[in-house]
Amino acid sequence: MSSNSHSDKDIYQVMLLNHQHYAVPVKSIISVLALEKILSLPDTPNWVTGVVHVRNAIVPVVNLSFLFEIDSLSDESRHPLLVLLRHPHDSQRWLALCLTDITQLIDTEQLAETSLRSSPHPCVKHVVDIDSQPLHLLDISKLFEQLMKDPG
Amino acid sequence: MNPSLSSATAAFHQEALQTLQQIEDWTLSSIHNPSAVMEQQAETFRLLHSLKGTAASFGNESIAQVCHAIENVLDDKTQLKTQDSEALLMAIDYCRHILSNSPLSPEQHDEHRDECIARLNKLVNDPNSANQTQPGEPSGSVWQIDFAPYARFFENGHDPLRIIRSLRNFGPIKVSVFTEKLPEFADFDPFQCYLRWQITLKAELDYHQLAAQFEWVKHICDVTIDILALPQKKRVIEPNRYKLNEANLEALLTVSQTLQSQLQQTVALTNQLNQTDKIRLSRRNHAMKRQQQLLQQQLLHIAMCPLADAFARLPRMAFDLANKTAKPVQLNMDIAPIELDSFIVNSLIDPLTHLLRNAMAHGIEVAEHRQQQGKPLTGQIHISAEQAEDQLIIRFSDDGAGLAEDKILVKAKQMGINIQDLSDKPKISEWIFRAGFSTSQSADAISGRGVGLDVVKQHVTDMGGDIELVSNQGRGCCFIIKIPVLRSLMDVQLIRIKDQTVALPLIHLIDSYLWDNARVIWLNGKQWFITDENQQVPLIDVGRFLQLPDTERNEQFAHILLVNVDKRFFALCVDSMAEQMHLLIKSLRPHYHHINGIKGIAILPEGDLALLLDSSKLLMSYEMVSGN
Repeated sequence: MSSNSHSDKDIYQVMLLNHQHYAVPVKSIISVLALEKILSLPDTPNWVTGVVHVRNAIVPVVNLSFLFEIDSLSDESRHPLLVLLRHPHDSQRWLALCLTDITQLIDTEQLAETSLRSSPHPCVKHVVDIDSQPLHLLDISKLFEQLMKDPG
Repeated sequence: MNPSLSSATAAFHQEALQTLQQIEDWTLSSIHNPSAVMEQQAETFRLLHSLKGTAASFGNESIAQVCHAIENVLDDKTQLKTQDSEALLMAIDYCRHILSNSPLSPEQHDEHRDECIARLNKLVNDPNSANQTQPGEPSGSVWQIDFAPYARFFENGHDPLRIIRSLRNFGPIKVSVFTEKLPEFADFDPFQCYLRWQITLKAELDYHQLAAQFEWVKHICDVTIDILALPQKKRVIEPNRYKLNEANLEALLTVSQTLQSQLQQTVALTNQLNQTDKIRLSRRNHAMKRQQQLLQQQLLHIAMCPLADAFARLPRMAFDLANKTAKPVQLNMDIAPIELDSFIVNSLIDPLTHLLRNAMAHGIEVAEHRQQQGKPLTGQIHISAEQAEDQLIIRFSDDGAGLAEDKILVKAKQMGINIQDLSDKPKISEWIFRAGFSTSQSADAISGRGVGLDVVKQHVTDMGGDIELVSNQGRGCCFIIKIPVLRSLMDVQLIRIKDQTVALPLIHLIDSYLWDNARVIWLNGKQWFITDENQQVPLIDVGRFLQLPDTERNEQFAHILLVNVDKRFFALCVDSMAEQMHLLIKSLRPHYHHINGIKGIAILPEGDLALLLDSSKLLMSYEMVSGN
């Protein structure tokens, strides 16, 4: 490694959902939990799986595969983890992503060396190739924005 | 300090305050409806008597004495007059002060007590009653009484037990009986007294009060009264020595909820164990869950309190203000039976007090003016509070004069407000929430200093809420306060629909029926239910509203619920009924936006979640879909 002075901001957590790789800044992760019983909500888009009760709060659960229209399968056994994220500018606002697994930590320096692809969705900052696999770097603020948009 | 004694005293205080509230409610009701309310006098008398006894047992002699004096008044009256009500309310206030550890010196307390008792005694016809209840300076707080009746004690029908029992009226007693003079059975004379007693009494009393109990028998017994402890002259006002602020409480609630989640997750792990270990762990898990639920209940008990608490003092205030301003007024309140964060409930007390004072000072007119305008002589103030979606909505209205727009415009000019459009009513309503904005010519004890509505607005804003005013000159005005509610405690009916548990606010549920094909009809493409009163009400399929997958309904278990929202009836068909519970309800905010028809998320005792239906939105949504 070239440097030991990385801040949390530079480090991303790579996560796996239905064979797709996503990454979020470590700083925005509150915790990783085993999947709770999700309560489905009526009148919501299919990518809002429902809500869970974690840390004394009712938190919406987002399925990225549905949001990015990558996968249309819905099977909770395929994503047994929940990663709880906080809003970058408002620590009182949370959301949860359902995941299959969490894998490695990477830093931005590593990402700089990889080739960039165009972003397929407003909630994705960049897509980069890592080990020939596309990695979606999520824009957490946009994800929250998307969630708070009232479909009604 | 003995912790059990401390908790018993706390329970006494809580019960005593509730009893005082009931007595106050009765007293206030008697003003508007004397004949009907006097029928409940026996119940009030029972409450008073019970409070008197309990207060004496807890060494609260002052409250016992005041209660006794109130009893004398009620005993003497068949109908309360205004001065009776005022004296009763003053006495109730005194008892409240005592229970709330008010920062008065013992001397001030005694003075206040004597004043109350003297005022109550004046109302009673019996001229000796003052002597019966007027106590002297307490000379002791723990007493030892040696009571040795002579052998001939029974000759004139005296009963030592009656005297001992009468001491209980002062406070708790411990009695020891001595039998050393008891003869052999053959020599026993049932007409002679062989026993003596030693009694320890805990009560702050004047020596003469105690000695008076033995006045009639002092010639046929030996009585010695010794003071074991002097009265506690100075009441030590102990501040809350425990620190539990909002953040601490939230942290504890989070720990409790996390514990609940983790316990739920261990259930899945037990399946990997052998049968014996599985049974053992399941039992432990069950016991821990129970403890977690108790912890959660205790925390919620601390965090939440009834919404009605915020309004509890208003009837009394309205009575006092009506007397002070000579404006007769009737206060009608309709408060939803829910519990909210103590922070919200406590923060509402000041703004509501301001609004009531404001209504009495500026809104409600004097009787002559009302008569001239063809209004009923008694002014009407209506207050309603309910949770709609994830907001608490309070409507505070009066049938008074409404906003004096001309005076407001003059005042606005004086304050340098740029007035461009005189017909802009919303702006006029906004100005009055500005600091120092009062059109009153002079400041009095009630209002007019220009401090009030800006404070009301500040309080409401601090709670994240909003306040607006709708005024109709000459007809009255209505303040509408909206405050976001992130959690509440509510009575709900749990129902099952397509394998999902759903909660319905119990307050809206009128009746439930087993599914009966004969009472369900199709008309104009819609399903209707025929009620017991032969009324035809819309039948709404909750499963379809919640977009749950269509499944075959088992009509053997299916139920129809009759629901009433704002006097509009409709029916819901559900797969089955479950329990009625008092549950914690959480809002989808701030993490998600509101969903139409969903009032919030109910947390079931095991930690599972259920949707809480918003009955009024359900009906609205049904009507929109069906084109009504």
